[in-house]
Amino acid sequence: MFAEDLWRSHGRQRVLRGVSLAAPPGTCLAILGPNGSGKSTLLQILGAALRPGRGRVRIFGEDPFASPAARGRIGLVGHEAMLYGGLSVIENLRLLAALYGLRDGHGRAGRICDLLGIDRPTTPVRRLSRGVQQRAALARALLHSPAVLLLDEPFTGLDPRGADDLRRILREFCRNDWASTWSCRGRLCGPGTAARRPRASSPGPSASIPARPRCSSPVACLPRVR
Amino acid sequence: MLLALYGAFVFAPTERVMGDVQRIFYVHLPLAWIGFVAFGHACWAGIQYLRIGRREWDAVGAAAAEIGVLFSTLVIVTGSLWARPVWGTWWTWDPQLVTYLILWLIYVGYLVLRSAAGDDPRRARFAAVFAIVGFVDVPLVWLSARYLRALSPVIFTSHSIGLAPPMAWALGAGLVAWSLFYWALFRTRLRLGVLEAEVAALAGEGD
Amino acid sequence: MRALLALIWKDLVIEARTREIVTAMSLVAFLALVIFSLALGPSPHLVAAAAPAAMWVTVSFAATLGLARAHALEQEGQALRGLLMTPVGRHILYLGKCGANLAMMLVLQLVVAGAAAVLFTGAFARHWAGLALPLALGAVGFTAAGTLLGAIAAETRLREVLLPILLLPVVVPVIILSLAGINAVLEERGLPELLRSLKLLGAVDIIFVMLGVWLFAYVVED
Repeated sequence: MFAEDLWRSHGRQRVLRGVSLAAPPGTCLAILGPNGSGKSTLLQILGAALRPGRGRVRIFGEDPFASPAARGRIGLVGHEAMLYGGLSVIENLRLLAALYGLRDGHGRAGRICDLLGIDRPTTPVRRLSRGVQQRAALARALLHSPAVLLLDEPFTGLDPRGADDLRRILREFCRNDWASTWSCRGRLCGPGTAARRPRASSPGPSASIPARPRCSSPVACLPRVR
Repeated sequence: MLLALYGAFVFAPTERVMGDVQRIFYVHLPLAWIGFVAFGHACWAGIQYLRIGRREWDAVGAAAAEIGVLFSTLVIVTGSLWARPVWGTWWTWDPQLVTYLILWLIYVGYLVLRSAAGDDPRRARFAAVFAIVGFVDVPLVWLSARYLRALSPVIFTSHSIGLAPPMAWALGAGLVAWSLFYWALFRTRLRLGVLEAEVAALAGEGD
Repeated sequence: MRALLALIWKDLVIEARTREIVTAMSLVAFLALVIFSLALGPSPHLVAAAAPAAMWVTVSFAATLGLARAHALEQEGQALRGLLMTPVGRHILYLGKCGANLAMMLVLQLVVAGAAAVLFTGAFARHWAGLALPLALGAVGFTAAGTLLGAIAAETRLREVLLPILLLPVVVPVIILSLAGINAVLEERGLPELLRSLKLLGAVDIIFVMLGVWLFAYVVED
């Protein structure tokens, strides 16, 4: 994954200014920063959910905005679940499986739900608790076996068991040579993990020390490593 | 430019056919034509914005639409003022009038959309899309209204105006004059829009 | 295509579960129709002539409400963004949404036509079947424009209020031509007449759908 000189404004406010970063396969990268520093915006742009005002993003050499195939290799978990409240988790996953062109959408949806410990997959998403919705969002991101996983404050709302599950999954993910994980968190890492930085525990072929994105100006919105 | 305008008015008095009231026609028709073209201008700006994405095109669209709505309002007002003494009614369901009313409504919709849509770049995108849809729609309105008129000729009146050559001259002069007027207003409004955009950009920089 | 069907199915299932959109639309339309019928009550001649117009007026306003609501569903939890991240083409998303909206509007028209046939009597009831085509083609054009503009309106401050302002002027040719077709059927003006209006209406529909397919991507991608 490769991003160059990303700019993005929300109305009159510049949120991202000239952010660049590179993540070769197998990296596990964390973006840290206080609230309002543009982490979410950055992740959304990398995940092809938002267009940059300026700049380029490349996933495996392709522009995800132009190439549907590249989009199919990204998984993003944002602040919102990005699921249909009126459908159940399983139905949402089956819909997405059809859109991603996956075979056996039924089976995959079921397996992902089991993997993530979603125990009531047939209730409409609207009526699930926050924690289960978070798991459902993860399920959505992992359904199509993405090569790149982008997570925005993924531990919020997860109970300790959920947090363990997630850590386990991320470790598995990083173990594959071709996977990169980005984890983006604010000050809180979630209950029970306040003392640790989970992302550092997943070794890949390259260093697991967070690489700081190169910003054009030190005052910019973005991540300062504390 | 103002001279040309005055020239259109002064020249006209040499023709009297339907009485003085008919002179509104020299204003009404050029205004109508320009009002329509202004929307085409906004539509073109919309297409360019979507293709190229530079903020200036959005400013062009906004400027064209604002001036256009002004002209369109004048068209409807002058049209009514003309119709009353001539046909005895403020309004009829003539295809031209219907089309113009819809054009005016679409203009207003465009402006409401701009004010409700929040900030750039979203506002610019939405405005561009609506300008395109609206402009394609106007000929459709005209064609369907004409179809309806063809079905029931009793309901609709038609205005046909014979044009003697001197009147045509006056009309042509009016057309040129009002076009220049539009262009002048447009340039001013565009400059304002571009300045606004620059101010916004600067305001964004300064944190 | 599988994706297209999945998208249409998605909206229809959500609607079938809650039935809130179609019910609300139908109620509003029915009430408006009743008011119309009461207002025109004393003069039966007026009533018969006004039936198609009353029908389209009520359908227009009710359908606009329904469309606005349908797009609000996409915004809840940013569900639409989840769809945007898939490899699926934006025009498929548009056609899927359009298809589902069309289905709902056809149901609405059925309800309203039925109610009008009862309330307004006369020629309306007799030519029930012939009205299907002008109404259906009208619905296609209406939803084609409505899906595109609904996506715009849903993202603005005014939301549901903005959609009628944007949509109704744009959709005027569709309504005019559909009414022409309906009147051709009711006044028994013969098949060629009906076909002419239907051809024009079909052409307008195609134009709207093409506009939607082209422009939806710009509206929906942030």
